[in-house]
Amino acid sequence: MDQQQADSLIINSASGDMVSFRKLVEMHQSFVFAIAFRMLCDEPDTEEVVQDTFVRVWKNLSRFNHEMRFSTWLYKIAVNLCYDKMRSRKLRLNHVPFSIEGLILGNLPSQENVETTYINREQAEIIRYLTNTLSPQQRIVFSLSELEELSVEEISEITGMTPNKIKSNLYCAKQAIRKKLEKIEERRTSYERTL
Amino acid sequence: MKELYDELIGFLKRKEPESQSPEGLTDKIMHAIQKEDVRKLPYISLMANEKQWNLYRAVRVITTTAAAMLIIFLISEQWEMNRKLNRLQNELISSQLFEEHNKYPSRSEKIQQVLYEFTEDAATVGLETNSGEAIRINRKSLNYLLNKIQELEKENISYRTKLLQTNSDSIQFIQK
Repeated sequence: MDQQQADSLIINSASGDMVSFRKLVEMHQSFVFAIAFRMLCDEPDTEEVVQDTFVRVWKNLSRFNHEMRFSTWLYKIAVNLCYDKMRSRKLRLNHVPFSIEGLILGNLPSQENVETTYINREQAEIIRYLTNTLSPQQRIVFSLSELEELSVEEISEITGMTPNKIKSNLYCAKQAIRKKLEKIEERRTSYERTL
Repeated sequence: MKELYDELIGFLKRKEPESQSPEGLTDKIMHAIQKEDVRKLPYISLMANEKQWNLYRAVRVITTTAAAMLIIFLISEQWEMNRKLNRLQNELISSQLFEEHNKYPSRSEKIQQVLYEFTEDAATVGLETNSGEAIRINRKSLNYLLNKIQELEKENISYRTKLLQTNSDSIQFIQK
């Protein structure tokens, strides 16, 4: 579907056309799901955020600035909702199952023949393990920069943070993750020596 | 260590997480939107009664205006009454002042005074008779008495003229 068609869908949806809006949801739903899931690492929460994101889009479509890219607008709404969610359930993130270390130390599963649920669970556990000590802002910046591969300018437009703040948050996040990986490395070497 | 980091990031990027049931999620979203639209309905039904609201607003505006006008009317009436009372008070004060500064004795008082003067006057002593109802008076004293009565009359006339000049409204009112 090209940009023109997407624009016409947005215009029709803004005038209350449910069919067009459904098509718009089908087009962007997976992308919003991926962003939210990488930040929240929880499927029911992610689904809730995706739902709320599109409800907000539906409510505010008439105010949508067509100079902005629709995907950027979606990012903005989804990231804000994820941020609120993360702050509300801060404590839940601290619980990480111990088996994650085994998962990282062992072979990572190949993607071709694995069920979607299994992939989601594995990804969630890895991200949760790596980012559970990070602040919500650091999690957002890490996710957008490292996993979504967005530029600093794009992240700044989505989150409203200054480029310097984004860079410092990303640096802190990476440092924290590396420290964790160092510990895992140490355990791996000591395990190998015992063998 | 860098290898492990890259390996993990690579693994996470390789495949995007997906919803277990994308269609079900779409349905949920559409259902939530319809629910949102239903929530808006009471507002729409209120809008349908806009005529009644307008009527209500009009009645409210009219009653408020009437109340305000009534209050203004009462205040202006009170003000006018106060103004009239003040004027009347001023007139009364000025007439009292006039009377205080210009003491005009009554006719009987003046004649009494003249008669007392007679008794003190040596020219009139010895004119009393046995009858208590009649007095004898010489020509000089009679002339003196008549002169005094004439003066009194003149004073009375000038008093009335002055009263007429100062309290014209009150006198006109009394005349009516």
